[in-house]
Amino acid sequence: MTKTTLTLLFCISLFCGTHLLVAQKQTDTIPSERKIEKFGIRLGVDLSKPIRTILEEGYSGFEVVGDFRVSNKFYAAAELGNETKDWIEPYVSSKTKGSYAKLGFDYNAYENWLGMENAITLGLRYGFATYKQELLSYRIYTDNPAFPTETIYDSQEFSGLSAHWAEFILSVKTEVLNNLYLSLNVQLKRKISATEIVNFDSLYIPGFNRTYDYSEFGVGYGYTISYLIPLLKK
Amino acid sequence: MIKKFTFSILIVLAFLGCTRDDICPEGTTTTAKLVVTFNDIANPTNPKSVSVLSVQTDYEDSVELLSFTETGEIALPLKTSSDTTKYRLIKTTFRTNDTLTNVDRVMFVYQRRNNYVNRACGFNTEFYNLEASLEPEGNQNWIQDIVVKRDTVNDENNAHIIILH
Repeated sequence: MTKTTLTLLFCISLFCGTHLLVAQKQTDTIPSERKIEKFGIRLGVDLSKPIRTILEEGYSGFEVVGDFRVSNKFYAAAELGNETKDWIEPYVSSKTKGSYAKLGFDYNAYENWLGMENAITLGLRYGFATYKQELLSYRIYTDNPAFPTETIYDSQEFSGLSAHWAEFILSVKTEVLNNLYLSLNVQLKRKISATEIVNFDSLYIPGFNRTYDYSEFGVGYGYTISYLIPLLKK
Repeated sequence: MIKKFTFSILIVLAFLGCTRDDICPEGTTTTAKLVVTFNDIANPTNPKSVSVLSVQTDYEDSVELLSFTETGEIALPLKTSSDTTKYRLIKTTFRTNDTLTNVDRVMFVYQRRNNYVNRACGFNTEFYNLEASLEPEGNQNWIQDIVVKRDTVNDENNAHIIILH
């Protein structure tokens, strides 16, 4: 948990840095200039995943992101990623490994000052993951002190699993250098379906993150750096 | 505007940590105990309670599990790590001059199957093909007979074992 907290703090502090840059940029706009909108393909990576790979034990992941501006306000967006995660609970430990894709669109709800290319976007995604999960060890739950239970190391692998979900994504993007963007996002997901596992459950789904026993919802975040390849200026 | 969003993002992140399914909630179907009722040997369908009963595990480091002055039904845990569980059922009779303790040894034999419950409770064990045996002590046993009523233990709704005495 402390490592997760550190990671989060790190991401937040990075975000605060970009926020200062935004503030500085806002002071030097020239009102008479005509507003130029850049259209193109923006490609990037989620920095939080390689950072977590270094800091967090039992995690490795990578995600590439991309979007394409289709109109003034709308962007077609996609994320592709791969994750391996050990999920350890007091009575169950498992390892999940797989790939995911998220497809959808972003809507920019932020009115820029002249000459600025920042964005606060609201987006929707359809998420899909294929993965395998290994049950590493488990314990029989007991509250009876006469016969304490021991951890049973009986590894079982469940492969060919898949899951689908819908995702709402809120993201803040700032242009830190010409055509170079930093973005922080939070994600709220709702599971639509996942392969039923006989005598076990998906504790973690790549791209969806941890699951909950009593809820179909999931959460996530990302911190991405991306570069805009301008194709058209209006 | 950006400050507001930063704040809302921080709030969302703060809630990522704690959830209610991190601890095993009470009332979850975890491993069921063996339900034992006591009936009258003279009339096997009639319940007959036992006066001053204590139950101990029958192993080297024996543990006292239950102790009653009067009971008609007990629930005993079965070992989830072995196919047998041994108990000592001790009936104490107080008489005017002395106290009699009668120890009867009972062994339960079964097969096991482990089932996934949820992430907080892990797995539970279902016992099946349950058999019960009493160690005979000539005419010294206070237990006369043991009847297996249900040979699968995965709930505690009614008796699995009837002890006749």
